[in-house]
Amino acid sequence: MGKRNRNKVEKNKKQSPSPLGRGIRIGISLLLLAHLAVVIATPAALVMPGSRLARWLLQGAAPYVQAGNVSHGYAFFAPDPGPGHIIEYELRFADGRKEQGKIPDTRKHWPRLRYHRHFMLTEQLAALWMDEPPPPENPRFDSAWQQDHRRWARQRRDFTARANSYGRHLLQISGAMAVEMNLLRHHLLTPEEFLSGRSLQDRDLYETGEIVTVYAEEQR
Amino acid sequence: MNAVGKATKNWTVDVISAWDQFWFTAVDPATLATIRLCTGLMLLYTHVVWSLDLSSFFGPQGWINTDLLQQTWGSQGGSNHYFWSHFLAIDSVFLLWIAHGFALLIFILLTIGLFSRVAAVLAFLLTVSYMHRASGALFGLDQINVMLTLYLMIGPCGARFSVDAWWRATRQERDQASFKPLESISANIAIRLIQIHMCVIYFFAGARKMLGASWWDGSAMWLSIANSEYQTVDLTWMAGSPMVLALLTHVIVLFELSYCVLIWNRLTRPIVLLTAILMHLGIATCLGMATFGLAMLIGNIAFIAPHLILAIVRQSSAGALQPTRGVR
Repeated sequence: MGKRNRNKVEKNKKQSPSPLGRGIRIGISLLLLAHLAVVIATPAALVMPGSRLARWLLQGAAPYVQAGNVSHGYAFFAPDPGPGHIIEYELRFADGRKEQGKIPDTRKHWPRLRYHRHFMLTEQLAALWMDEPPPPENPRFDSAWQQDHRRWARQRRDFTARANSYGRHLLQISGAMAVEMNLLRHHLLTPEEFLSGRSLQDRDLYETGEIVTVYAEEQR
Repeated sequence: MNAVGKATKNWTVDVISAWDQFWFTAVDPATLATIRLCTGLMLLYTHVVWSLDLSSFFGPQGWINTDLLQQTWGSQGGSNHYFWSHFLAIDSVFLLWIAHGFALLIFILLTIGLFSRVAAVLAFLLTVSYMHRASGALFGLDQINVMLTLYLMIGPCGARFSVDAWWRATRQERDQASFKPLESISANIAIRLIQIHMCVIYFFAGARKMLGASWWDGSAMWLSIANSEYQTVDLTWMAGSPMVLALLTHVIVLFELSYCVLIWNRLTRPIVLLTAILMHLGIATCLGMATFGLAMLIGNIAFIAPHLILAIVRQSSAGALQPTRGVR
């Protein structure tokens, strides 16, 4: 313990006793320790592959963590800042009209926080976008492939459900008969490519990912 | 008792004393009240912006419809999950606006510090409910908002810079016997929790970056700048200065990883806080996340001593609402 801290401790010892009794202080200390364990365990469980101890702790504290939204992963621009994603859509109306739009849209979604909310919608949809794993050439890897394939199938189901929810919402607010949504991945340039004269907006940087069409009659 | 036993006993007594001093010292609530004021404004702004798309994010047929929401909750927390939101009980636009109006009122009460403790509890519950329902449109800002409101519930966040404080001062002027000192242990506990939570946030933000190659090779800063979906200020002119970009990348990771150590030392604390201000203002202006940058800076206020805040407030003559008594 440093000299300054030791002096503080000594001074504290000489001061009048805390207005809180020992039992109350012990009780509060235990609650604080339990809370802080959860605060640390949540991001520790989410860093891949994730601490087993943290996952076990979080299972026990699930009511507290989930109901109170107590802690998160805190992965800001991690592990790597990746490409951005946008949804370009076309609404088709009964009278033959067509309207195009995109999510997010800087011209429509203002102020910036509103833009960012819509940007998160596309980013979270894109997080579920995953190519089907190709079957292995060597049958020895069959069981690993089956595991990957099950994960892909689960993610695919979540992707479809989310994309359909977005589509149904667009149909509901526009009154259109159908909407075709195209999830685009906007790849990033390297500094060298940028210095060679390329633009961040070059069309070939936009990779077409998934095209999902939702029809009004599918709405419940 | 032998020497080792005596030393162990002394050490144990010192540890307990240091623990008590860390958590159970009464402090002036000026720091907590400042955080309340700033968090209240941030919550108010965040939820006013939700008003622009209220049905789209919180209605039953919003971007995330209720079926999908239940499915998402199920996949995150299993069939017996504990996620909740009062929006699931609302199925008309009129009621949605009534509920939203009530939430905005609570955030106004928290900001001005009227019925502060009740407002803080309701603000926390509402923030959690909005977050649970808007799953799919959330980002770092929401995580910091909910963290700050959680701890505002614990301490007397309305004891200064608030209508509550002004009322109490007026009462005390009339009735000298009703005087109570402002220093409070719960204010200290709330501030300590925010401080530790900020350390956890920065540490894991840094630790998770260590898993990415671009944070090691120094290209992460360029990748952030070159993402035109994030960009609000064009910094692509920095492409010609790869060493500067690499230096900034490494500084960010080092700052995040070392924050939890350096912030506690009185000599390095000002440098850490200054770095945090520069980094978050940079994110705020260049990457279009002003709200997130400001929310992180609000969290950093926890490391500013109450006496310093009071001195700043007095100096700028903005302390019209603060009582004149109860300060050491």
